[in-house]
Amino acid sequence: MTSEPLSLPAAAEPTAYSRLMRRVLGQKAFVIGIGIVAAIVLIALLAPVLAPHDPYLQNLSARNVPPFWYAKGSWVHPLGTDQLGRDYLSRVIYGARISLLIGISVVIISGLIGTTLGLAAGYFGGKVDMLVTFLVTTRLSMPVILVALAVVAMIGGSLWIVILVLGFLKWDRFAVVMRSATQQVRSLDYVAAAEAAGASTTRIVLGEVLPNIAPHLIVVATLEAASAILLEAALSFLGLGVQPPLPSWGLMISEAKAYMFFSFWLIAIPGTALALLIFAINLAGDGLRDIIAPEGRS
Amino acid sequence: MANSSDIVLEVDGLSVDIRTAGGTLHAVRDISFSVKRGETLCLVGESGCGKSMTSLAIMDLLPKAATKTARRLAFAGEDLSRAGKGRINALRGNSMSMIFQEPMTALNPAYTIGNQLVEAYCLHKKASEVEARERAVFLLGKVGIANAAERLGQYPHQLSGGLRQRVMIAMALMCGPELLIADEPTTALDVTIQAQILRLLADLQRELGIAMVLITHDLGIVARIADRVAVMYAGQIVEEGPTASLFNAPRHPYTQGLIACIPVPGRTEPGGRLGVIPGVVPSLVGEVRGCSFRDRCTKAQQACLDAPPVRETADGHRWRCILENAA
Amino acid sequence: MTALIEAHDLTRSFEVSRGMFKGKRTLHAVNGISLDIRQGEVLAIVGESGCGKSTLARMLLGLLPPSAGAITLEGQDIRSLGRKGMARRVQPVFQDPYSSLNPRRTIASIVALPLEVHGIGTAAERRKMTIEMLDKVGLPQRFADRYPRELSGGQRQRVAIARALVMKPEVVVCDEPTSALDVSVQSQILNLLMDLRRELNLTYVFISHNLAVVEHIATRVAVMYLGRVVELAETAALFKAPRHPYTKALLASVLTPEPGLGIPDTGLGIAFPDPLNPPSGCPFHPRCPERLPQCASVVPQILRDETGAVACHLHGQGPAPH
Ligand SMILES: Nc1ncnc2c1ncn2[C@@H]1O[C@H](COP(=O)(O)OP(=O)(O)OP(=O)(O)O)[C@@H](O)[C@H]1O
Ligand SMILES: Nc1ncnc2c1ncn2[C@@H]1O[C@H](COP(=O)(O)OP(=O)(O)O)[C@@H](O)[C@H]1O
Ligand code: SF4
Ligand code: SF4
Ligand SMILES: [Mg+2]
Ligand SMILES: [Mg+2]
Repeated sequence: MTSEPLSLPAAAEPTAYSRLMRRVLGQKAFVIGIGIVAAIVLIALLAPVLAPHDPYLQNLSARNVPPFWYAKGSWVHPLGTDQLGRDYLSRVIYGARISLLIGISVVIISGLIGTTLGLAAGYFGGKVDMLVTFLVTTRLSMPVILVALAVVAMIGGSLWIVILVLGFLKWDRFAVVMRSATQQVRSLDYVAAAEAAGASTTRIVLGEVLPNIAPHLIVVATLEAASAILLEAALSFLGLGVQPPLPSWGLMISEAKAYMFFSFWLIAIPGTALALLIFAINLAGDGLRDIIAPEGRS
Repeated sequence: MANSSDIVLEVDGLSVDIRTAGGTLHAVRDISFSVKRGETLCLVGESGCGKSMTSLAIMDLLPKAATKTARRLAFAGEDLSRAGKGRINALRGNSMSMIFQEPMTALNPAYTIGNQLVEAYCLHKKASEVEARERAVFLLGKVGIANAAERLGQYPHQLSGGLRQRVMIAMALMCGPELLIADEPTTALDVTIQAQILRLLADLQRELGIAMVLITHDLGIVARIADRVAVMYAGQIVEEGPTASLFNAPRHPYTQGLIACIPVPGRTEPGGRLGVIPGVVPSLVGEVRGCSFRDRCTKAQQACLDAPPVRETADGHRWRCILENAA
Repeated sequence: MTALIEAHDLTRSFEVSRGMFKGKRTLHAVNGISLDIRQGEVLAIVGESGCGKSTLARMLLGLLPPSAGAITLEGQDIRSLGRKGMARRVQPVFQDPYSSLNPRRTIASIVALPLEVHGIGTAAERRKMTIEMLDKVGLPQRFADRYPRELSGGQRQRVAIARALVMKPEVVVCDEPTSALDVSVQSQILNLLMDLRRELNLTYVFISHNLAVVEHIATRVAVMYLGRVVELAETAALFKAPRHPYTKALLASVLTPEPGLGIPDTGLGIAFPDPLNPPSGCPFHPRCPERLPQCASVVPQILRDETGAVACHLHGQGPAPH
């Protein structure tokens, strides 16, 4: 149904920007999600200011101090200390840096690989498409966690190794989504018009196709970031990810498992932080998908 | 003049409002018309003028966001606005039926066309499947489908667009309707097939004495098939009358403009300038005051800021304009 | 008039898969078309949907390589011209004004894209040329920084025309430029196309299925049926004395707004053309009211004469029965 002549902008029509804002604010889940994520990012950036202590400073005389709400707790260590007497609040704050670093770096690497493959497959089709489809199938036949375990077990774990391993494994969803989005845009007349204007393939892909599939890219990126953060936590928990003394939330949970029954907060606090971040990213990602979905032809 | 019992569809003061994010959109604004047995009324207008909403309102198939009001909406003397859901379901697909623009939206891809033709008939007419099949084969033959019995076993996607549209017509005729509403029945088709299907529709309509409302944006179709024409603009009927009178002596500036826009082989000079209607259709969101064509009308004047009167000639040609004759 | 573009025996086929285990079939979208497009003319291409009009247009634009045959522009094979070389001389206007404009670009940036691609002028000069072009197609400057979604169908089509003309091409290939538009908008766009043609000395290839529009705008008409040109003639001659039975049926199907004439009888059979299963012999024979005994088996050769061309057993190959 073409309603367009009737919705022609008289001067009083809401601008594109105000329409977008209205749609964004209509998405409560998105606003909550993005709010929490923004808060965690801020905390991570301001960690040196916010953390009351050095997260690596051990104090063996003050081990396993409980958080302030326990009778034995104190405000010197608001969230208590760990088994080595390090301030737990400071470690959780610095831990946010690691989780976000992992999430962002992994998504940059896997996003670059997956988007390039997906764009190429969707734009060129034919043999290129067959090759990319083959690569995706091959990649999907290898469980991420097992491959990561094998690699880390062979060459040892470290923050950067975890990032590289996850980055080079988790591009499949980017490739699949970008491929089908590109196929759709590729067949539209404005791509043909750009071709007929003499634009090079690179120019068409970057200038005409990519901006129009970017919304899908952003959605996949948020979901993949959450997934990478969880995987890092799992690997670190198994001792194959980030190595001590770095304050990774997964590692903190792992280190605390021996004290699980005596000092439950040692697990509960990083666990809650992790769950909150993942929850918030997923909320934001889902909301984003709903916000960009109704775009296009009115 | 036919007597009033011949009137199959009577629409008086029908309005359709649609809630949108920007406010209420008045898609159809106080329109009235009636169709007699054996008569073809064409509703013509450009996209968005409210043609489909009118037909959906009559068939009680409006989308959720839309509400309709009418002083009277009567089918064969029976007031539909007072009839319950059950009664309307019993009429719809039975004595009132509809043909849609895109047959794929109306045909179920999961069932054979035989199933779909037979089902409605058995339901409404309490007939046996054998009878229904016989009728389906008969009607498919009527709409020009060869080896109809075989076609019954096919699925919609196995048919070409022209064939599907014929199946839709057969389906609309299965229960012997008194009223047929066809919303752009041939817009998606090629010109040769369009001519074939329209011819068929006109023949069947005459033969069966059906009252037909044909909705289209194509003035060529209108001129060839209609007994009477109603021209819609921005949700209103701005001019209505017998086909010959409306085309030979259009009274409303919009109708005159529309006719001047169309190239006609042998009439317009090849390569010459075609008539134009400047400007764009006004927004129908919020209250519309005065003549809705005023922004684009070359004859507009101060008085057009008030709702223009409806003028009428002896032969039932009516138009909504302050001018007696704008030509 | 000299031939600007020549198509020599153009063919384009597609591999169409028919479900999982059925393997592939070849669909001949364009089947051996030879055409010349003359300097300054408006060559209309008419025919029903699926007959290969758009495929032919995309080949003429250099957007789709032919499976066989070649296209020359003033004698030079267009493959040797390259994408940029073609772009300066031949430009498209597409049917759907919604999908032909990138929704993420402003109107000015859409129209300026060809200039940017060819590195013409500075940003300020390009902006000036863009505004001038928009003005020429009847869009005031205030539209320059709007997005396509804020424009009506007719206004979008004006933008598409501005984009096509900003490089000052010689040939514009219009693929059903008005069939998605309302009649009142269609007449505006047709008037605009005619004015621009006169002003800029353009040659048009005008694809349409609306014969009334074709009669109005074209100087010569090529009628296509299932991938072939079946008749070619000057517009006036074609409308006065159509030779191919399909052309006659097409002309008979034009519903002009003249009351009292009723719906014409085209005399056509009801076997709809299926490009995947083209009939043997003359592809039109299952529907042809003037079918001859040999039509089902023998493909009619195209007869070229002073009037144009026609591919039908009624004409040429021996005395025409009249
Ligand atoms: N579901 C809907 N929500 C909001 N507005 C709607 C909806 N459906 C229709 N409209 C609006 O109602 C008006 C009339 O629509 P309608 O479909 O009846 O037009 P039409 O004359 O049939 O046009 P076309 O020829 O394009 O089908 C238009 O302004 C349209 O945009
Ligand atoms: N990329 C493609 N793949 C397969 N078939 C195609 C493709 N493009 C066009 N066709 C087919 O070629 C025929 C001609 O298409 P087209 O030129 O688009 O027709 P028209 O423009 O006349 O409607 C049609 O049967 C169409 O389905
Ligand atoms: S009422 Fe006025 S504005 Fe409306 S059509 Fe008549 S003359 Fe034009
Ligand atoms: S060749 Fe035969 S079938 Fe084909 S158009 Fe001519 S007369 Fe008809
Ligand atoms: Mg409609
Ligand atoms: Mg086409």
